[in-house]
Amino acid sequence: MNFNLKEQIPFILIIILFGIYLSTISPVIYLGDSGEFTTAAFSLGIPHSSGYPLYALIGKIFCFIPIGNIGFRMNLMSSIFAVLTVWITYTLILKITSSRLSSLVGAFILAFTPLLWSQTVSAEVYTLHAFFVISLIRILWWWDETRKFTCLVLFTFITGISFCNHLQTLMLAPAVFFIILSGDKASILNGKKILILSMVFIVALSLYLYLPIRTEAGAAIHWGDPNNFERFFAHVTGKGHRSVYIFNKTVMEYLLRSKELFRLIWAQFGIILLLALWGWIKLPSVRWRIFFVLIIIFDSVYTLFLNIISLEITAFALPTCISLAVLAGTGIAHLLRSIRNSQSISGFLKRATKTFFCLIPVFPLFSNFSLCDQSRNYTAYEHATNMLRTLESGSTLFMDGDNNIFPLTYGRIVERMREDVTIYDRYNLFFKMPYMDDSNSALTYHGKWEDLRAILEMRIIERVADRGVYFAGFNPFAVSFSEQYKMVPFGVLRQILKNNSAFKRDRAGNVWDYYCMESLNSDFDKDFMTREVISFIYFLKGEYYFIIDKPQIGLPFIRLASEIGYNDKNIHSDIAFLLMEHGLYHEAGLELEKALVYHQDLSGVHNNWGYYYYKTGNFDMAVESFQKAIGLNPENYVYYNNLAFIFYATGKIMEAKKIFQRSNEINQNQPEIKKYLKD
Amino acid sequence: MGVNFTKQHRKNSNLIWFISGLLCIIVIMVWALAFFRSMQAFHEGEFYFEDRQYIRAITYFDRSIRWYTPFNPYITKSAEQLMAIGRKAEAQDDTLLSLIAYRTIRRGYFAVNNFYQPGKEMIEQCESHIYRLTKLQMEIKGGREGTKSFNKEDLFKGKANRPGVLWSIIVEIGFLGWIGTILGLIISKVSPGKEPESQVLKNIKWAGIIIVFYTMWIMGMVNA
Repeated sequence: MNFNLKEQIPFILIIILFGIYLSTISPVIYLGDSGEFTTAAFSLGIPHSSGYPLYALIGKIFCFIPIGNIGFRMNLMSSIFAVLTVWITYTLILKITSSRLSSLVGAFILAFTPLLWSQTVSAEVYTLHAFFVISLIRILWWWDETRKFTCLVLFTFITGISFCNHLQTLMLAPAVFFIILSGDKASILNGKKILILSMVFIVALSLYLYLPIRTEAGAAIHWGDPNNFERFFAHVTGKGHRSVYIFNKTVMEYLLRSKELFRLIWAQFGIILLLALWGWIKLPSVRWRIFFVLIIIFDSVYTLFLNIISLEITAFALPTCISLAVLAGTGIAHLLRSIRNSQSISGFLKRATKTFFCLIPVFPLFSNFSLCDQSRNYTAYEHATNMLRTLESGSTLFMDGDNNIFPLTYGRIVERMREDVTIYDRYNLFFKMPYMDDSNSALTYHGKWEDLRAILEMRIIERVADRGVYFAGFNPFAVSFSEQYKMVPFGVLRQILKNNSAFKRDRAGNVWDYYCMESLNSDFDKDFMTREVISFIYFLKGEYYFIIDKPQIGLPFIRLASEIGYNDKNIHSDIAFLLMEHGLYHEAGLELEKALVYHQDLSGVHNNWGYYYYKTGNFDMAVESFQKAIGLNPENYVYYNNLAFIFYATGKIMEAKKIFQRSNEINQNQPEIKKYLKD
Repeated sequence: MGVNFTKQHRKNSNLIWFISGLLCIIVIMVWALAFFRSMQAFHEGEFYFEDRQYIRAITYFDRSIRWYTPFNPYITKSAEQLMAIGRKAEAQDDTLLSLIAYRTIRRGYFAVNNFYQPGKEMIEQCESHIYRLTKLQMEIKGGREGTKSFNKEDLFKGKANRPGVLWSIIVEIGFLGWIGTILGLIISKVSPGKEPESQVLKNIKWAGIIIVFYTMWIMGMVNA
């Protein structure tokens, strides 16, 4: 066998790429959906809609690898699929351009985009999705070259499989149908062929049988309980929450999101977009030019109109990035060919240009390395550990928020952490609250889940208050309990106590000495979710010191929380409220100004401003602020109450009465307000 | 034709060697990373242990265990040091610290579970310590009466359905089998229309294999 080093360079570089990804992988579970996906794979369970059966099945294989911990192995899976994505991108560009150099450059431009690279460090579905996107484009190109029916059959089967990972693949459909129908209509407009393709597609989709079977088998997590047709359909299609996402924003909001999307794409490629444009112009066929444009357009439609999740958290636009990388590689190949064939350019300049193009991926490699390096990020794991370290044996914990629930779910199910405490998640997905009435019979309830939850939580609290009840969540007002109870900060949790129970200040303070805080102080680039968790931890620590009358110790922690969570939509409001309660109005005002910039629900911020002006004696401004809050959210009775109290306090009784009446119309379950009206 | 067959056979053989080589390189890289990080974390843990910063020592010994590789001496050493911390804390009446140490060992080994469970003996030892200390805490809080019916099983009752290894392997073999067989069938260029008999027989064989693997997959999912 002849060994040609030049031919081995792509393989060597791909191995080096894997080494780079390996050096930046998170060592344990990550925040966000990572804990949920890892648990689902480990337990052959079912995560959130659409169920991701393929991800769970492949993930389980990785869970068997006897190296590292389970969280790391699932993160490794993301890296492997990213490397495969880059490899297939290389082979596609090579097919288009026959230039090994340009193909490597284009592929490695993709490899080091922050969007793809950031997905290699944690357990998420997006690198698998990217792998399918590029594989499908590659197979389609193969079909276009050969026009073999086998290629279409393979394409259809892989498409069906990819739908069992992420339904976003559906957005490739317009581009795919265009290429096939414009290339060779007869290849699919044939009864027998359509039958074969349909059968192959359905067989691939049968992977979704995983959902009802694993639910019936009692998998540890089975989100949505998809073991009957109605729930199965709702879970796969996301019917329950999809309607909230789709086409329900204003034009201005869509324009702002478009601007964010463009900024995101620019952040991936910068000036290389020009190379992508050149590559698009120089693509060998018009059909393929239209194909890539359609990919980008419909990918953007998905990002802009079919989703509301922040672009900072979720890896939208991967198909766009893949397309742009392919086009950039094509553009580079054309430029290099033109320069090589040019008689007027000197040999030295030709070599220099070639070297320059080779070095293009090196710039994003170095500029994005620290951004993507999560090798020291133990935050999710330590947060779960600290929450459980707070609890005594036999106590009960209510969890709220993905960044509390998912790490704890992983900790309990995979690592069997603290099986001596009872945990409930407030979404009632994994750790369900018992549906029992006073006689321990199954409860029948017709109404909203939120109202039922309040009843169930109250029952549980009343039963187990003496053994310790705690709450893990970012919003302490989320849990409703009767006036007989109060909530106090307790380490990284909040404890729910009877009013006549003593607050164990010393224990609440001492517990901080037993927490692992290494990740909080480690030097690595902290993304939005990591900063949200860390800032909240510092906020709780500061809040504790304020409550035990040591504000001088607490204030630095509060300031640190504000600094770390600088663009957290909630933390500035929470800090402002705490500071107002303790008379630090100037600093509270500064926090409220930050909240105005970042908070998505400005009605809440204006409400806090109203409280701020009330505390500082500026009643006119307080009225104006509460009115702004009501204008933004006319169904929030709390804002009406606040406005009414201001009128009442300033002697405007008739105005106060009108506003209280309006509040009572919205929420008739307010005995205190009824009392005011009566008086 | 014979020449083509030999060429194809050699090509397939080279591909298998190439993929095997690639997999070996990947495994070696991952193994080396895990071993190095385990060693690094252990030494950090030792530093804090000597400095009596036990919480930080626990954190790093925990990390060392999580960078598990088979026959890695740092895993056992980290677990032993955590045991030592647990015993020291007990001697100093710091029940919370000792519980943290023992729980860390236990969950650390569960975290590195694969097709076998490492550290079974250590887990059992830790569970005994945890049970003893928790019972002691409960007695201090509420008297001996309340702990009479308190068993070890009450503490470690987490019966979340963790799929068994054997059935999970069957699920995976079935899954890879039917997907792989279908891919193989497609790639072997089955085309529509009237087939010569030998091709029909071949298709039936393929279908049979797919059904076997598919059934394995279903059975595995039902029982796992």
